[in-house]
Amino acid sequence: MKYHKLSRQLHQWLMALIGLQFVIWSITGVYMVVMDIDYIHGDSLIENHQITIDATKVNYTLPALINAYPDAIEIELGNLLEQAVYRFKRKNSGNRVMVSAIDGSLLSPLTQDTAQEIAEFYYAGGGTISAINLIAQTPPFELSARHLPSWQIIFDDNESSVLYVSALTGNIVTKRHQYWRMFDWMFRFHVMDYQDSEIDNQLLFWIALFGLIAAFSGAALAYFRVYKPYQHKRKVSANNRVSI
Amino acid sequence: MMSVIRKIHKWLAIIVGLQLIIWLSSGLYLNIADATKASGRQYLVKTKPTVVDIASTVSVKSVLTQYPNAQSIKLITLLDKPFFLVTLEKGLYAHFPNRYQLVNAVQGNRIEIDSTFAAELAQASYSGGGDISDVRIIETRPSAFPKQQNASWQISFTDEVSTQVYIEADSGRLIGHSNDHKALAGLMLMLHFMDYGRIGSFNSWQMIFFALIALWLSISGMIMAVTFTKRNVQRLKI
Repeated sequence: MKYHKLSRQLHQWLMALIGLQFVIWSITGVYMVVMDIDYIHGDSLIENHQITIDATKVNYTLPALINAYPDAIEIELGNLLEQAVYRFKRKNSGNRVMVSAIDGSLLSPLTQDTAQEIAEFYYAGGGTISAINLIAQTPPFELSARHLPSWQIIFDDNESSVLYVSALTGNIVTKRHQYWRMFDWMFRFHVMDYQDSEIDNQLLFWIALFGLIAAFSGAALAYFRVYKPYQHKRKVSANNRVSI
Repeated sequence: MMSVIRKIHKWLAIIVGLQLIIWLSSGLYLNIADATKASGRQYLVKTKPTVVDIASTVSVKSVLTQYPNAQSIKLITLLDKPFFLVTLEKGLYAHFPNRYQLVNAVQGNRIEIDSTFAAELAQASYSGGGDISDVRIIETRPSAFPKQQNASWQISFTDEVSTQVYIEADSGRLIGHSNDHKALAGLMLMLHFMDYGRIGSFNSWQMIFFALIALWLSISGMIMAVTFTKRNVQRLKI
């Protein structure tokens, strides 16, 4: 009886103190597991076009490219929309460059019109473009600084979709919609991080530790409330059978 | 009313209780785990891309005529030798299904990454003192990198943390390193996500079912906690 009372009091007091975080954990947890992660990552937002390179259009050779940019590394022949291009990095400066594979003319940084054309080409949603911004420094939370400079293309669809097109490579570097942004918030509340989206914070440690004690006291309570009475009932009915 | 809530709370807690303890303990582990150790990168050395001697390579145009379906051709170096990495089918991400062909950039012939080549690539990315004890191919989703859908070579080293290196079989790309610390963190994540099939996902029916029960449990618990607190506050006032 003593342990029964102790486990009940421990469970009630601890949960009265930190129960709210259990509500937050389960609401944010349910959101994160119910929403399909590929949808959250915006995979249905863009078309995965397969464009083969037109060999007849590749007249600019690698030796010519190296002649013009001797420190070029990570050279890749690919497409920008339907035009064959070379993308590479300059080893000395770390800058990314894109040139035409037809004649070697410089294509980076992209103009707003080209960025818009790329975004419209890859966008799979039903909206139209409502705004375009060039982000050259201080990126928003959703864009990594290594993708700068990038064009931010905002669509007027129901999900407030945004595509980010690198101004240097013309690639879609990332994408966001409101359910993904919501997911990021859910994650922050789930790991109780109100500063920098890291999981290793002190607040989470103490609440999770007390939460664990509360859960174990709940388990003890279940033992006293469910298993013990059941055992008692069996004993009583066994005794009755003997007496008959 | 309150007694019904209490009763449902009790019985649902019995169903989800063990998982609740698993969620809390695995969550606590992930909170206190050393992120640097758990990354598995203890013996990872980053190789820097080098400038290739273009004069010695075959023309990209000749590679293109060999592979008319090419989406892109990337000049890469593996073990300091130049190769063309031809992408034949492009996935949305590198870990999604992709189809590649490696071509020797000097001779122009196609290259398959066999176990010897994979072992050499792994060795080049490894700074520890261990020896290679095992090389095997994993068709899809190695447990250390459950999202990786393409086939990969798994190269095991005999060091104190049992480092394992993963090389993508078609492309030679280094997927990453894993070790005992990363494996333990991965196990905790698997338990936290109820991802028993190890596919790196938490969108499973069992997860959704248990999460919904946990939601009901916490809301009903909150209702009881409010009544409990009110009662105790009143008692204190008297």
